[in-house]
Amino acid sequence: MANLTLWQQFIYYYQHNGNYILSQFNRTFLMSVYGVLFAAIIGIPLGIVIAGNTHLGSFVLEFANFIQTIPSLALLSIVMIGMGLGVKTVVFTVTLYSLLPIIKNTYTGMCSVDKNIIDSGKGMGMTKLQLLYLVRLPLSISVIVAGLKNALVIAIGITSIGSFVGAGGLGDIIIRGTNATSGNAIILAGAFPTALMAVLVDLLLNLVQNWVQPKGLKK
Amino acid sequence: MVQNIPMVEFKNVTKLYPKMSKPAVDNINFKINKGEFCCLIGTSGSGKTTLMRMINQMNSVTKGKVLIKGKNVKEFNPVFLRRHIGYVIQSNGLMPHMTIRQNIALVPKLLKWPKKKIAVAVNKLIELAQLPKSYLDRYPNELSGGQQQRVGVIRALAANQNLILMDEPFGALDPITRESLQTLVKNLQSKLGKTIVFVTHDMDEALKLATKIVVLHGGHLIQVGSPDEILHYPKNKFVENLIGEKRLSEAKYETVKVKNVMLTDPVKINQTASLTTALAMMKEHRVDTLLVVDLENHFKGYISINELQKKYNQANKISEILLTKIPVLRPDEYLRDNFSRILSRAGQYIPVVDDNERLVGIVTRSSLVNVIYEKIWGDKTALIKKSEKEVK
Repeated sequence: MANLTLWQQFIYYYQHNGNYILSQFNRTFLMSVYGVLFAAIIGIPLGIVIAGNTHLGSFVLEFANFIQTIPSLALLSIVMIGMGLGVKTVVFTVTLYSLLPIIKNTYTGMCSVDKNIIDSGKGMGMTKLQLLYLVRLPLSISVIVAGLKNALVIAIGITSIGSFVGAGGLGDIIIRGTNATSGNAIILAGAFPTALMAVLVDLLLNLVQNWVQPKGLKK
Repeated sequence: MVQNIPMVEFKNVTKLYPKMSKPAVDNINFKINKGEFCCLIGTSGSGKTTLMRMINQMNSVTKGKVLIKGKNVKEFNPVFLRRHIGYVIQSNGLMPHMTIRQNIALVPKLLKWPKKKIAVAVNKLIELAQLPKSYLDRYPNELSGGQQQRVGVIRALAANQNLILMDEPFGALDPITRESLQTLVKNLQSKLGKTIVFVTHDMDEALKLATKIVVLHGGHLIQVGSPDEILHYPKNKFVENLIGEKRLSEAKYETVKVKNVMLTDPVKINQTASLTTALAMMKEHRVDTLLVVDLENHFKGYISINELQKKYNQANKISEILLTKIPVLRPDEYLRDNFSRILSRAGQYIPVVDDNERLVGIVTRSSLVNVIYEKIWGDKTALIKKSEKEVK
């Protein structure tokens, strides 16, 4: 092994552990997605609610901001004290970190809808609910999706660190590499798909963002 | 089409916004009849928009009552009320994420009309807006500002609303586009008999469109009246300022009556006088016609030098060459209504006759010139006096 170049070692690792890497890739991806999903379930409605109330809005945003300032490893460890080792802890931490981008973007998106258009909708006799799903959501959906995109990219980073609390995933491979003597190829084998995942998620959600943008708003 | 049925009625209406010491509108009372085009006019902060938005409960009423067809608006479900009142705001009221078709169909859809009925209505409305049908599938940002507001206006008619509220709908448009939209709205209103409440700060717009103007200032109602009443009898300095110097002087010219410009000592001759006297009189005054009156100054007609010369040898009485086909004016008629009659007399004057058929004066072309001078150069009474002297 030692006489192979880094690149050859990397290929060799993939040839022999392809399925393992794929399953860890899946694991990392799903943990990130679940975390963001839970954050979206909480964060989007919360963002909508606080958009109508600047006082509450600034308080909630402050709080989400505060969570964001805690270093991820520290937060993981704190959550671990309560929830123990494993997937749950990572998913919960990801949820906490995803709250800020999701709430913030939902809030910003909602607030940036032209007041005149809301006024016009209300004046034509839309109920609050109709105003939400006929006007406010369609006009802010692309900003909300941008929030989800940011959250998911951050989530992938946190999930990788999550291996420290025994959640598995691509982070496991990276840690294994750092523990091995001359484990550069193994580190790369874990790091490369992680980076790839983040880039792909970003690209994919850019497409989604463009797709959900109402036609009339496209330039 | 104005009927004497009150559509909207304000009774002692006061609106107090929280944390404000002064009410936004204070004890307002007036009525808007069915089929009326009512303009609420005032400077910003006058409460005109606040007042209008109380009609469809976009603003609540602090004190007093707003009645629609005699029923307090508070008794209506706000959503129901708003769906039955058209609403047009400044140029960006169209839903940018919906096509023109969807925008027009919005209220009918909220009212759950059947699809076919909506399609028929949409096609009819786009014609009313004078826009091609192909625009129906475009988005608002593919239309010009003026076209967008055309859609905004007809969208407010989509569900056959009889009452339409417009909040400075043309404020953001250039003058030419604004004028064409004003014409559109005015035509639609008179054709369809809608009642329109129109907020504006532009007096020209109000005078052009309204059948009733409500002047507001600092939350108080200053004056209610027809455009003519406002223009000719502004209640105070504020209304005068709102109308503007230029329009006021124009209005003054509008109300100039015949008696204000007529010359009061026309050259006239008694009908019993001889032809020789007539000829002498013409020579003396250097005129080619004479107005003929009887002893009591009743107007009989006129004689001209042509006839006089032709028949000088055959006739010996004025009545034989008397010409009676001549238009006359009354002293209390408005000059503006008679401009073309005076001008069509090809340089000749028109006699002015009072209700007892007595000759009281004449109006000449130079009388008109004086009025026009005044309109162009402002109040130049000196000029009139000077020119009057010259005529005499």
